[in-house]
Amino acid sequence: MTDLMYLNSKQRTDILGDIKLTLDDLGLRKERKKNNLIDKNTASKDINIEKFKKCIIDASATISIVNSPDNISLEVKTFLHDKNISSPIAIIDPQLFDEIDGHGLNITNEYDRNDITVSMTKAWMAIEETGSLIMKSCPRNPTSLNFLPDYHIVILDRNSIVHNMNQVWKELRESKKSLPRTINIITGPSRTADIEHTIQLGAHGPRSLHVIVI
Amino acid sequence: MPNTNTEFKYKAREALKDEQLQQALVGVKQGLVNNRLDAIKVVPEFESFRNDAAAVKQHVLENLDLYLEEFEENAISSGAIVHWAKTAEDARQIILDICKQNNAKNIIKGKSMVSEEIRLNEALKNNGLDVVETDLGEYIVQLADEPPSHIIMPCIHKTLSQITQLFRKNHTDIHKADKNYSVADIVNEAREVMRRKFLSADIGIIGANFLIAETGSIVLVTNEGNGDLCSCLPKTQIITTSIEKVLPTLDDASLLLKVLARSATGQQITSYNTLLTGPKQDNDKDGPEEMHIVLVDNGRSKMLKTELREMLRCIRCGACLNHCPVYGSVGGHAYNSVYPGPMGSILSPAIEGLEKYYDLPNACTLNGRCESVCPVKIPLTKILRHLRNEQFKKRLNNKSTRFSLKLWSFFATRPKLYHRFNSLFINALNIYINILNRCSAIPVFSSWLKSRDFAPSQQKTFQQIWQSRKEND
Amino acid sequence: MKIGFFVTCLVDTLRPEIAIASIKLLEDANCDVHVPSQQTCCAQIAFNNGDLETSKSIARNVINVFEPFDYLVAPSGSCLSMIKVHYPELFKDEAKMLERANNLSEKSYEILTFLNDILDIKIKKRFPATVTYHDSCSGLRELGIKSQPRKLLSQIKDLKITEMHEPEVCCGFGGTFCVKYPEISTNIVTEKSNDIKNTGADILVGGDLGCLLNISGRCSRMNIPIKCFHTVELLAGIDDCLPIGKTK
Repeated sequence: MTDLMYLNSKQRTDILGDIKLTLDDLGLRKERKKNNLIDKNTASKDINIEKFKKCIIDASATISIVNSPDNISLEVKTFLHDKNISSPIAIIDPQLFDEIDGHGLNITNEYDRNDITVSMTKAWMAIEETGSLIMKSCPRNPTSLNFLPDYHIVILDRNSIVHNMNQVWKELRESKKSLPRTINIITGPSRTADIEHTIQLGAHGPRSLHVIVI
Repeated sequence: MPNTNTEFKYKAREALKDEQLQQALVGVKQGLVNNRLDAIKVVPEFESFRNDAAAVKQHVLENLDLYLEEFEENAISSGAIVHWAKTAEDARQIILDICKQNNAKNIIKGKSMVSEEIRLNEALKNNGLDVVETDLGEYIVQLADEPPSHIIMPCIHKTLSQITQLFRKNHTDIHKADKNYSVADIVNEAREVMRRKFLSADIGIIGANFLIAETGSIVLVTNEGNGDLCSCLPKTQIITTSIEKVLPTLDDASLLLKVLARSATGQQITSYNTLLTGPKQDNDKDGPEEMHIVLVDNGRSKMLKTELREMLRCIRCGACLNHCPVYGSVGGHAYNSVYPGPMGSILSPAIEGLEKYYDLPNACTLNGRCESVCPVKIPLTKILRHLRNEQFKKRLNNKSTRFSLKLWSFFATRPKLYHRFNSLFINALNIYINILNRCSAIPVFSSWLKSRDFAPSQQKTFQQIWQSRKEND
Repeated sequence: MKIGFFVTCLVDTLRPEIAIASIKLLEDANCDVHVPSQQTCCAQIAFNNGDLETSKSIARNVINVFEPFDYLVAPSGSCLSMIKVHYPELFKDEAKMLERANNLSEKSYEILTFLNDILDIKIKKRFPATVTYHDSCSGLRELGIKSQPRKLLSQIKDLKITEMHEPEVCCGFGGTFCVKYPEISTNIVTEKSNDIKNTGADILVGGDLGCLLNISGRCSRMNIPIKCFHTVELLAGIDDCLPIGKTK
């Protein structure tokens, strides 16, 4: 290991030294120019839920809007019934589990990465501009729940939708906590167009993504 | 010295005869080009995004050392381990050492052009490791034992039936020989095979689209979700990336993401954009215990010194390939390099030498369509011309080209002789064509006449006509 | 106004009609047109083959010869962009020459841009035909020539412009490219020719003789019955002129 560390520090010095020399010798260093187009200040504008909905659908996901958390179960039942799925829904977030529990849905709070067909997770935020969901990893919200299942159900609070990605970063900076290991910006289910340009959903991740907005 | 000169021409000829390839290339020329057009049509500010994106990448290059140091510091404080690799060989060694330390056996990989560039798979295989590409396209070319032929669509040259045959040969346990496979069936079969690999791998190796100096994070852009599975399941993670990928802030990443997907696949945004910061945190149920980031130089700091500098703005979207008539004619393999098309015609000689890739800067009509779609506005034709100039200075072009140029410049710098030569030339040409019909014996004309007709319209040059008009006045 | 007409080597040797038509249009608009006999070529061929020293010596000649005129006008987008865009690049490290190159650059125009943007000429002609226009790459991307030829052509009575699929895609000529990589070039020009054929137009027009020779030569070989002309030939009237690539 020490050899490797020595080698590493030598290479680091070489590369950075080389770059420094070039930039200084050729006088390339310049101040940063302001971007021409910073995201227009949309903070005062209301979120256009119809636009968000359209983006979600354009990304081949599905969306439904419910008035209260009590209606989630019914919505999920319909979704699973339509897809003809009886597998248990993996819900690791204890709060979400308690909310859903007792409404006649087959749910489990066991995390078994070898056997997850349906998962339900909570989105931290969402972006109106692109119909993207922002998932923040934490012990209650393992990243793999966004990728392992065939069917991914996401619960989203309407008030957490922002206009654009930069507002997500702003929120992240203002929360003053250290960054989570993973932030997933998810826009529609998994897809590939590698074979003959044919778009096929469900390449490795979810085959379908259903968003329930409260 | 390997003479890739003739190799490009040979492979290009073969490619032009390959009907399946030609069919596949129509999809690039029509499909991907139209996808991009549709995607930018709905974004009136797209031109401004391109300007800003180019400016950000240029700014990074002008302060590359500072941003790399900032990135490193923040990555380390998030718990990641940062490695620096001067050459491809160094990078391979670092990664092999990490594999050894972790007693790894099974490795899964997400798509990474840097890993292709450093020829990582071969090194891992030679050291007894089992390595599987998990991006569907990369997996297919891995099964076929071929390099990718497009930087974002690795198996663009393969048809469904060719892929079905590959799967039949390799997935003997689950493939049904008598079944007529659709694209969906193939994708499902790959999913099934790959899922087992994901769940049993020791190490996940992925690339990075951007490195964020502000936070020490990496940004990963995919559609399949394979990169994310590679990143959250194995207990060790290695990121192979290169030094020019660093960006100052997260806001810069949002800007670059606005142009990347639209230019690449014509999506407003890809399915998955992921920000990874350090290894798994306390009580996380998934994520790697170790996160290694390997920063590869491999000729880039040298490029920074030269006129090739602006090429380091490249974000690997592939738009220049899709819009290049030469790529559209011969596909990726003819270039005999990890990076094909216009960007590859610069990067390949820059990384591996002008001698080895003599043809690439020359096999270009300088039509400039590539740079008109480049999301970071790299002056590709200017750089290609610069490479031609370097080749000329190194006397790499063949003797007959140099001789013709010299002969022509002799006349072009002597106006009187030049005009006399032109009138003689046009006279001779007319005689050849009208009487002897032997144009094909003249070297330049023979390659023209193989596929095109030719006829000058007059017996006289314009200068002769003009002269007699002046005399008549 | 005194105009120095830059003939270009291809027009000089292979298609004098383009120069004749250009000069006719300029003179009709009361321009005083001169064709300096000291001119040779624009140096593009050396420049694109990496020979900068030769390029510079030829460029110096062009600058010397054309400096005295109010304008330099050339019937080719690619030659003009060599003069207008690349001469200043060539002399970027020689302050004096750079200034002269920049001065010449400012007063250099491609013929159609000049006729439309500077002279604002009106075409009073009738020519019943369907034409399709190929945007040559240098003119299009380095000089922004796109609307000018179409505007001028549309003034011709009974002339219909029908656009081909992707008129902005390269025809595969690329100067020496077409003889260095003939198979690739052929593949590209074959696609272009088919796109032209599919428009059903009688005539292909363009602004660069190199491309027009390439396309007309390929169409002729593929037995596509299309007539090729430079835009100025149509604007000036082509009554006594055979299409490009055809002999009597």
